[in-house]
Amino acid sequence: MTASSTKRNKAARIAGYIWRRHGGTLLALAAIALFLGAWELVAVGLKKEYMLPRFSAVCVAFGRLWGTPSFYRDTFATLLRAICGFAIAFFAGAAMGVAGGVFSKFRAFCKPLVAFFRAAPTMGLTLVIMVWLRAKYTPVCIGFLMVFPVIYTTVADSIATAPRDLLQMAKVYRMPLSKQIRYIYVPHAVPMMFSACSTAFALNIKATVSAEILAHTVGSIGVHMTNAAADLLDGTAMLFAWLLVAVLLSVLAECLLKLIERLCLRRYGNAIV
Amino acid sequence: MRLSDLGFAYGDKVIFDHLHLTLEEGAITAVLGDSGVGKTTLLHLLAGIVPPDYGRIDKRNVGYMFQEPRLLPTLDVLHNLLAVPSIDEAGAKRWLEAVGLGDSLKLLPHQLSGGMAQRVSMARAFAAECDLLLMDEPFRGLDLSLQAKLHEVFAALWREANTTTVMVTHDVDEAVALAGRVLVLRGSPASVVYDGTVADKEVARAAVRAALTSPVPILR
Repeated sequence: MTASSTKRNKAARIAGYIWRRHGGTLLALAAIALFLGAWELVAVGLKKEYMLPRFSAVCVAFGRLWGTPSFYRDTFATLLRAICGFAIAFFAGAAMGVAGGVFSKFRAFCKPLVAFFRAAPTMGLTLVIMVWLRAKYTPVCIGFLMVFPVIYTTVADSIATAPRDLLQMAKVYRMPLSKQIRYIYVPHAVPMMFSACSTAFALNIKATVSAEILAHTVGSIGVHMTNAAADLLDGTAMLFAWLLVAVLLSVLAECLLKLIERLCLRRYGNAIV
Repeated sequence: MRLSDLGFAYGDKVIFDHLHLTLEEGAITAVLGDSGVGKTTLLHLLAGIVPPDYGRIDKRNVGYMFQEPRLLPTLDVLHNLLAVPSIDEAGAKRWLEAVGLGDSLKLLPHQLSGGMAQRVSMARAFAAECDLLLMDEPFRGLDLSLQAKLHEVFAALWREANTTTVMVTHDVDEAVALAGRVLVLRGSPASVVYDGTVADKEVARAAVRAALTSPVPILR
């Protein structure tokens, strides 16, 4: 075997290792690069900044955002509204989900209400809520209405589908309810809840920003988007930059949830996957 | 222990209708019968998992070895036993030692082999200090050498505990090897078509096989 073929084999092995370990990440990066490349090409070809700004212009606008004090204040305010809506929906959904999972009659009673909030258009609900609440509370309420059905359904389903064989075993050995909750219901519900929270928080950010746009909530990502859209000369790049901020918030929240999930699962090995 | 005038149905399907049964204290009774005849239902009734539609069953502290080990997935071997209120740490360790798992206390259920998990289930059933042990084909699906080993472990533990035991099985050899008395349930609703003690294993084996395969239920 020659020295060059040994080198080639080693390089192939390293490439194979990288592909096996990071193939998914590499493909995702390739997709982003392809998308941005296509964007840049179309923007250059179109030559209409107000319709589709170049990606480089969006990056400049995004960079400019970081230099303005209102960026931090208003992004934080939007995030706080989203977190408030999520937290209230989480606790209310979990409490009612427990009742729905335990009492099938209660679940039947709640079914039409939950189905209504699942199906109702976000914009329509926002318009209704705007009549009842002040602009700064409307996004919180809309976030709540988007997240609540997801959490409620997940908790109720996780209780209704708790492993019957383990519950039978617990009944035979007269295990107290506190232990049944801790060792049977919670481990069964945790993976479902993380998945639901991840979906719900992304939905929540979208709904909160949409409600801010419609309600003209002062000091919010939504109102900055409205203002940027009104500025035909320089606004579109800024609009895309704010859109990027909203997406980043969603991605960061998902990463945070994934991290918490990983820490929780590490506690149990692979037992509850 | 008595089951008097017992009746139970799943919807329209009557499983037991006025069934009478007496279980001998401190003995192993094996229950055999066709699939779906109500063997597991009988165990569920004895364990109080389902109540009878009518009739009476003496209430007991029950230990149960299910077909699958049914261990709590997030707890290690030792804490799976300690999750049962009637088991203390010393008792748990003693019974785990007795089933040969003294050095596996910290393992989680997904780290155990099928045989090890079933031994944990066995230790849990004995450590619960029950006065009625129910077994629902706990050795089914294990390879023959492992089955034989678990039979040995079970027999040794049972001699020490001497608990009244009802064992459901499809395996005539297993029933004759472990039990002192064999019942065969057949028909719908189920009735006892064979009830015999195991004095001579060969004779008992032949009689149970005949009861299981006979087209016309025979009552002895």
